[in-house]
Amino acid sequence: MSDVLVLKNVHKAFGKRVIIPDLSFSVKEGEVFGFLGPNGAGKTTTIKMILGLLSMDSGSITVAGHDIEKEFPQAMKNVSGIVENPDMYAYLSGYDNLLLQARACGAKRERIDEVVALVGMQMRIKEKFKTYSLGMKQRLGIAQALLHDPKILILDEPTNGLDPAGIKEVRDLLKNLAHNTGLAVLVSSHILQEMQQICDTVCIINRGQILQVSSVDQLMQQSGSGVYRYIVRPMDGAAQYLQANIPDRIVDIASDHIDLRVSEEEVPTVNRRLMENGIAIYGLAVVGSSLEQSFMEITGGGNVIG
Amino acid sequence: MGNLIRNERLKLYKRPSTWILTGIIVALSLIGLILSNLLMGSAYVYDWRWSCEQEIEYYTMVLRENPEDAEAAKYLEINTYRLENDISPSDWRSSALEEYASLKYGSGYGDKSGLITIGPDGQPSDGTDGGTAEPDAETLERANALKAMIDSNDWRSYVEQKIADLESGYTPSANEDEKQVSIEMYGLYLEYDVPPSSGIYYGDNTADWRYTQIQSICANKLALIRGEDDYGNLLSQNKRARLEEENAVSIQRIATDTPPVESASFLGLLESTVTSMELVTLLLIVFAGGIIASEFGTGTVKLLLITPHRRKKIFWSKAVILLEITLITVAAVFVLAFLLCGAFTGFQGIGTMQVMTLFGQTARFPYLLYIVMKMLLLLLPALAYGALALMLSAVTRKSAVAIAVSLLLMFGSQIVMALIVAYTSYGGGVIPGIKFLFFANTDLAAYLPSSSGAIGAIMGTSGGSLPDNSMTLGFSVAVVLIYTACFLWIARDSFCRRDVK
Repeated sequence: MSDVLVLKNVHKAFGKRVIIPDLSFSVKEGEVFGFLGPNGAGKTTTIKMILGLLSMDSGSITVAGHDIEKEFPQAMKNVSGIVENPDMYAYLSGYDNLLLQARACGAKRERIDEVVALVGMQMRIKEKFKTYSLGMKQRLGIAQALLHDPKILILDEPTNGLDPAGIKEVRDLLKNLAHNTGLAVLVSSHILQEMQQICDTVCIINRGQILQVSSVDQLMQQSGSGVYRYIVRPMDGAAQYLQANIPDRIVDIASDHIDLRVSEEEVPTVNRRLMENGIAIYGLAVVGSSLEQSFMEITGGGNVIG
Repeated sequence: MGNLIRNERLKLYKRPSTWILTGIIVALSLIGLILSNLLMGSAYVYDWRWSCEQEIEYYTMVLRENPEDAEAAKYLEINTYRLENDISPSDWRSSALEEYASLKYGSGYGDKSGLITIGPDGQPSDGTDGGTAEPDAETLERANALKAMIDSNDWRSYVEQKIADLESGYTPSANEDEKQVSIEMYGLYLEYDVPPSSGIYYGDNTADWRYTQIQSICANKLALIRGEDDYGNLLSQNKRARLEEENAVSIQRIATDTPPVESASFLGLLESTVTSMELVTLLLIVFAGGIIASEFGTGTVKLLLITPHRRKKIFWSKAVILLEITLITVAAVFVLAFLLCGAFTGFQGIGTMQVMTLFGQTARFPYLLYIVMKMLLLLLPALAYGALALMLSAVTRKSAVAIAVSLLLMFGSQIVMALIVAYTSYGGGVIPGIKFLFFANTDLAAYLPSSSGAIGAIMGTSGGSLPDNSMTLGFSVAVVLIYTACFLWIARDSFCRRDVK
């Protein structure tokens, strides 16, 4: 599979404030690429540069082999997206909004009906945009982005503000599109769970720098395990024993419990060993989801506003 | 590009506020037209006969008290004669009667200056000869001769007498030049068979239009000889040329018997709609101020810019659609005004010719065509203000700021320019470089003759709303075009280059 989107050494600063020091990554055909990072990590800035809304200070971005600075129109024929909110002309009907975009992108009129059917908006497409719910706006936004059959779709926080039903709708739509039509999708989000469910590849970014790019499976394996809270007595003995045998698995030792990172299969073994060494287990609970934990570790807390 | 223009059209035309605003502007233009029609229709009517009767009654009463009162006798005779012979105030005989009575009664408010523009409330003469001295034989003879001319309504003899008086020095002149101009003026009356007028227009104007033209020629000639205008400013080369042009127009009007278009006629009324170009400017400012900035306000600019088109194409499609809505509005105003004027005046004189100087040539010209041309020319500053608003729209990305600042500049500059013109006119001198300022050149109407131009001509060397007399129509058009190009360039550059945060 070839790369649809390639970023090479992209650098961007607003005045003296460097937002993206040096960013390189690529997205393959048919891949759902998760762009994960805390607020202010530079996700939206990167997306705006890919779509030509912001200029780069240096580096290059190519879409389907076309440099976005030198061959802007050709590059834009292969990419579309929704940045921040699905903003459209509120006083126009959904259909008119699609018509505008179809004309601008050179899509045929029949294509409008196709994308409307695809997102299931046939019933209310003639109504004014301002009367739509947020979920409908988001769906219409995706319909609009699909009008000219792009090779890659870029969505900035597509589930932001949606209710669970809406989130599921969008998620199913994206999976469907990616796996059935070979469309590459770049989704940004700061919500980990979402990424876990939609993405093939996840790129974790903070302060404009990539911390890790890996498939979701890899990420799961790497962190591999959940965090379990053991409530044990005596505490001293337990701490001594664990520090002597599996110091690398200890996450935290508190006054009344010990957090350990272990895989599901390892739990019975750990339990048995503790009991054999005279340590009683009073309680056992799962405290951290796997990916979230690694995300927090990788981004160093996740609440970095840069 | 075609699709982008169609998109902009859809966005603008499907917005309800577009049509509300355009409707208001068109309606205001037409209301202005209706009001000016009413205004012209209800001109103040002054009943001079009633006024004569009042005076007769008063002076009869005075004479009953004091039969020796020469002044009362004088005015009694004048008013009685006017009433009996139906002589309106603007008739030449009105002033001739005054002169005759002053000779006969030897007192009061006679006029010897030679110009027949003195009314019943004119300036008193030096008044050295009281009211009691008996007129000598020569004066009596002169008075009787005058009376004979009045009786037979023989204005030719009256004018010839005036010329003779000037030549003999009976009527004093300030200098030889003024004397010569006055003689020439009387010559024109004779040459073109124009009865003169008293120059008084209280509610009735039976004076020949050619009289007004001759008066204006005379005033312009005097200014040219003196080399200064009414304010005592030296005439510039440009202003001289303009006065000479005016005289050429007046002469040709008289020679070809082409009266100036009256402001109450079909074409005169239609011409008054060119002032609605100012309203069109307002409309254009509102549209141009919003067309870029509102996309930023609603966030739709992202949608617009990620289409496969270079930004400059998107910019020009917006500029094209602004031009389109402006032309539609102007066309609507013109067509509706045309029909409305027709309804008021019955399309009378639609093909009237007018003598005027355009592009250095004095010629007869169909006035309707001229009005259309004038409107199109005045569209130029409107478009320039539109470009200014578009620039502010692109630079500030805020509709309210772009519109407010543009309007402020438009109206503020008019006030400031009027003050500067006043300063210059009253001897302050021309401010160097001011003519290169955009706002000094936006009033193109100052260069274009209008149907009420004749009135301006009577008032002498008027027509000066320009801060520098060396400015010409071609110069101002060039300056406005250059500024427009600059505004558009800055707007385009700002729209195409800056980041969308």
